[in-house]
Amino acid sequence: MSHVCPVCGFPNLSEAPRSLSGGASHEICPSCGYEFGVDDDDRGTSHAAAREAWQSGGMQWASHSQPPPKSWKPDMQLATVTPQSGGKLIMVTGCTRGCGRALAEFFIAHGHVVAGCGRGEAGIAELRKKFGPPHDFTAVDVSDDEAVLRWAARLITTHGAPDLLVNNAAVIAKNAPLWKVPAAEIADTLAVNVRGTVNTIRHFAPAMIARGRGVIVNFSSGWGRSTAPEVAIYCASKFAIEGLTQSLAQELPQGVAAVALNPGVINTEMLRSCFAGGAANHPQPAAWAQRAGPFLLALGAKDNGRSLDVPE
Amino acid sequence: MRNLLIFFLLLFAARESFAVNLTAPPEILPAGKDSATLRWKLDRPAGGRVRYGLSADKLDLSAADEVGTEHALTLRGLRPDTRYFYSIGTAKYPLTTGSFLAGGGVPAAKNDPSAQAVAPAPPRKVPLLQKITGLISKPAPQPAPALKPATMPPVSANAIGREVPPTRRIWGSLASLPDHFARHGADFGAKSPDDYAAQAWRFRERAVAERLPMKLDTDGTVRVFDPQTRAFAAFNRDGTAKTFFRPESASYWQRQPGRALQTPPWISP
Repeated sequence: MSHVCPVCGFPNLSEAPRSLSGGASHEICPSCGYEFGVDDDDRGTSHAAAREAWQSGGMQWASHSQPPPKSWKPDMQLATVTPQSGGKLIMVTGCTRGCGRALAEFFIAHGHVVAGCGRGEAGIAELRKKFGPPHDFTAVDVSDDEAVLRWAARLITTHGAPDLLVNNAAVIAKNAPLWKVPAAEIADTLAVNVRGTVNTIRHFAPAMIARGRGVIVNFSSGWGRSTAPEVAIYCASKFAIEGLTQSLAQELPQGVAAVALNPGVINTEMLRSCFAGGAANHPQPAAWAQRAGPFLLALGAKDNGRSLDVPE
Repeated sequence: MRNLLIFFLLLFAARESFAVNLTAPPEILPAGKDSATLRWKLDRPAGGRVRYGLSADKLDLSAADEVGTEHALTLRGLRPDTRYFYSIGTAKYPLTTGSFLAGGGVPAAKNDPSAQAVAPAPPRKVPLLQKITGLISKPAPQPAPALKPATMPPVSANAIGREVPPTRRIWGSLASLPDHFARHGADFGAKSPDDYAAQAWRFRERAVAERLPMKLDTDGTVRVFDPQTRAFAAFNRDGTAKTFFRPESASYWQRQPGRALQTPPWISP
């Protein structure tokens, strides 16, 4: 199987430029000469800078040992990976399923570049197959601070600071009174929902602050502002999201915003675990994304510190 | 039936020998003006073998002892005040290399630079503009170094005493080797793509023998780094090389993903 170079669009790389965990292939693109694992990880050359340099140098075939394909057309090749004018760079956590997946597909369909992560390697592999460069999907557990650090460092180097960071990744423990929830489920819920959000903010916010613009959207919930029995840990995690977002908003400089967003009630796997058959009365993620996507794209510095709801 | 049993026993023994590791660097004890004792421990029983000589490329003398975890061999008839190079290992597989001064001199450390296949070098400083323009600018036109996998000239024996296999067996993508050599050959003073690939292979062997830090990625890529020489290499699951270079970034190794690895997959039992 061949793979596409995210810099020049060459469609016949022998390996994916990145493994599912984000490790470089160490392949040198014979078309543009970009070396994955060196030009990005070691020398800090972004895809955009390398693309511009290659273009301004006349899009010369780079390899000394491999000839270009017959009837090689670099301009047509390049068009396949050139981000659309006006498109935003959007990072989405938890993008392998549910709302995250639906949002990623919405943003891509509307000309934006999406860099997403999720815990499921199969889901990431499927997204990569469906959406090639310049989109970028990596298997990352947001509760693993080191993994988020590596992911953020690479994305910021290769793509730049995000215009929109969507902290969507979340899990919920099985419905039960608090004293009956297994310790492992409590730990996982807090690790993903709270620490995961904190991790991504810690590693992406400095680049957004340095650039002077960007919006951080932390997914809250109706259960981040009200309570119900048998979901105490989830409530606790989403109340935490509301609190940390409002504190963060007071720390961010002009131009950068943090928003807590209640997405509403959507028929996802998570909802089905709480509502069982009742989940079917709520919209599917793809339908929800048609409302949520434009709402997210319209957020800006003016919204800093607000607790918002996706409109019905 | 008996022969079959012996065959499987031998096969098992051979497989086991590949999994043997040193538990600590070997000790070199001066035993007299013309002798020295080398002492080392293994993590599992295996035969002990020392190959030694006056040059890292010519370990033409040897000594061996019986199967066990603790080994001590006294090398006699050495020339006083002469540096000897050695390779310690099992009968089948070298585990570490080094050198020592015969005749009561201070023994050299295991990582004696004179015995290193790769010499330390400071990171290169490249201006940002050059980094970007260098990315796409072609070097002065020159014919691509021709690969001769089947008929390449013999590569000299490596520092740990094993002959380097042909390039086609040690480099993963032969088509890309000249491009890797063009970019990174100078990091190691390599004279040709074959020489560059051979150095990557020697580094791989040394990494196993000296237990250099290794990480295994989800796709089977094994990354290796030597903090002393700052050499970095990536290998496919089968042990063929993907790249070999010296990163400029001080935190490059820390930022590589993967789980820490003791034994790479190409020698796993």
